[in-house]
Amino acid sequence: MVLLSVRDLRVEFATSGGVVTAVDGASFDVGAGETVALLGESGSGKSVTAQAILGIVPKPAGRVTGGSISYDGRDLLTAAKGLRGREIAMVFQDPLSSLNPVFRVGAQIGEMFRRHRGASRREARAAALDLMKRVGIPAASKRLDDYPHQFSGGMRQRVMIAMALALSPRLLIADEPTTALDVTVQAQIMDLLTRLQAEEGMSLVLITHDLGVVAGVADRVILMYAGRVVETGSLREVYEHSGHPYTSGLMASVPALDGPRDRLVPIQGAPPDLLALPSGCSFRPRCQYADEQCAEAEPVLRQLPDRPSTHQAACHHPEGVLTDVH
Amino acid sequence: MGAYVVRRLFFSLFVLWGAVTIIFVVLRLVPGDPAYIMLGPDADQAQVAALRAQLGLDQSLIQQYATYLANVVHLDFGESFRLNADSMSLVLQRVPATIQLATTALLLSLLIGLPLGVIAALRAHSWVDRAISVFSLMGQSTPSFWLGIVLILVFARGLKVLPSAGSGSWAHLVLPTITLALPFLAILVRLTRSGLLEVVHEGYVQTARAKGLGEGIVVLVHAMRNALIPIVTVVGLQFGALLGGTVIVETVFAWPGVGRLLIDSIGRRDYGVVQASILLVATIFVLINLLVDLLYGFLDSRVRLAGD
Repeated sequence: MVLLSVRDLRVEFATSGGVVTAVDGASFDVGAGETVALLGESGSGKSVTAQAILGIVPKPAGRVTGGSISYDGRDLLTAAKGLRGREIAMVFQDPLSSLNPVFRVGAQIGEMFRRHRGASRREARAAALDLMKRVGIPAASKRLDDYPHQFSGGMRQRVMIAMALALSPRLLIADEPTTALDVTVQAQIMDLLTRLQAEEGMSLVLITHDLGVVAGVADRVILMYAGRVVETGSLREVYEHSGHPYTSGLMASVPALDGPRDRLVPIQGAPPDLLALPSGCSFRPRCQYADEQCAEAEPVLRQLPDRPSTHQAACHHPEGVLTDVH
Repeated sequence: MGAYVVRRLFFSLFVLWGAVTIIFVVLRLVPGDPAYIMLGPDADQAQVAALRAQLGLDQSLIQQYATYLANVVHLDFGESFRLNADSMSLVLQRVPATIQLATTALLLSLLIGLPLGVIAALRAHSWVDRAISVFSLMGQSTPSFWLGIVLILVFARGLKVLPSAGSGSWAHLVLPTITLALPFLAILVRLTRSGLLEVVHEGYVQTARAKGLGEGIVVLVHAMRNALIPIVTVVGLQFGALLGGTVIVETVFAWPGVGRLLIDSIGRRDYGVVQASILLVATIFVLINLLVDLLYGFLDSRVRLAGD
């Protein structure tokens, strides 16, 4: 069952250099209970997509200018406000700046119950304590009255997760939840997220630029480049049979523990300048398969030859990519 | 925190010592002899000399200063030459009127300045914001003595709706309060606007929105509590300027406060009263600064006061 459906989403930002199209016609679905990884480099539009889903695109600079987002049959572009926090929750990248420095963490978690459920101060405190225990914060009853700066990075992210889970949302969006953390803590937070997801049966959208984070966690990956979805499919499919040159380049640039100790193969060229995107395919200047067709027409997502229907890529020459790589 | 307060109070003594020393020296550098002024132009040399001796003004400056300091330590702030009464009790009699004026001005500034600043920040770069900015810029650059006189001309002489001077009723308080509040209010508007604009793009404000909180709570609770920290600091420091402003406003409106007593006493070279007034105002200023530092730690737990 599809819980979240994004269609042709377009988000624009007014900058001093001109209008930037941060998300340019992105479409994807997230099923109930499914874990989807939204992959891409900085500026690919993955975080802005998440902001659009929650209806918190920074105003007045940013604006959703096209497309639709539906959640459980409701139009999120108009109804996001009533669903934020209750049905759809979000965990951000940097837990230190995302928690309010001047309020106690217990109050920040408890606020969800007080404002949304009309709970009393005491009820909210008890509920906050339960959540802090659930996300594995040691001596939770003592830490309820501490401030964010008194916690370590990993513990802060646990507080953020507790806050997000307060009202048992059906969709959790985690925007680079482990990027600001130490490597050892990263694994703990990912374990916590997947455990809670299984317990709650909620859908999880994991936004990251790090393939290692999603390996073994995501059911499906969606790759974004310059505001567009360039490839989508199961992690295994996409990894083993990349149908887009950007994806295959990304896979080739990941060091393998068991592979030969060769030099890493970086993707040629520079990341795209969103203010001056090329005509047709945005990846064209960095692509070895590019020809006139790529300059004329923007490729759309379509099924790859001899691959399952769920595996799609937006490339004019997927055959070349598939045979060259594998 | 107790130790911190004690240490701060101890260092405050040096500030007060500096204040009374400066005013002691300046008063005696200014031309004009209290004895001449008290006796009038017809007095002869012998009478002046006798009065100078009686007032202790024939002693050397160092001697006078030593006597004065010794007396202050024993909480004896000297006699008023003019009124033959204890200087400090004269000053203290005037304190309630000044406090009344300063408090109403402060309240007016907060009641109007904070909301205007919030509106300007929420509507940043709109015509509303520009109108508020122009108002606050004018408020900051209008001299109090000029504004006071214009208000008297318009509301007391012209429209005849408010008294021009004196005290005794709430109506008397209106014009001096507006005059004293305007520059302070203007600073508050600008501080609140810039303070809020600085925090509205912070991560925790985005988190508050993602939590599904109403826009009012996002701005007035989550953003404002953070924006208040610099505002409180400047409000505290500016309160000193507000006290200084009472000198002008009380003179313009013949308000019977410490400021006017101070001006009168300077004119009469009434050393005792001038010194007592300055000492009192300096003490209030020092205490407010201490209060601001304590409030700072209360607003933001990351600020831990040394000695905690």
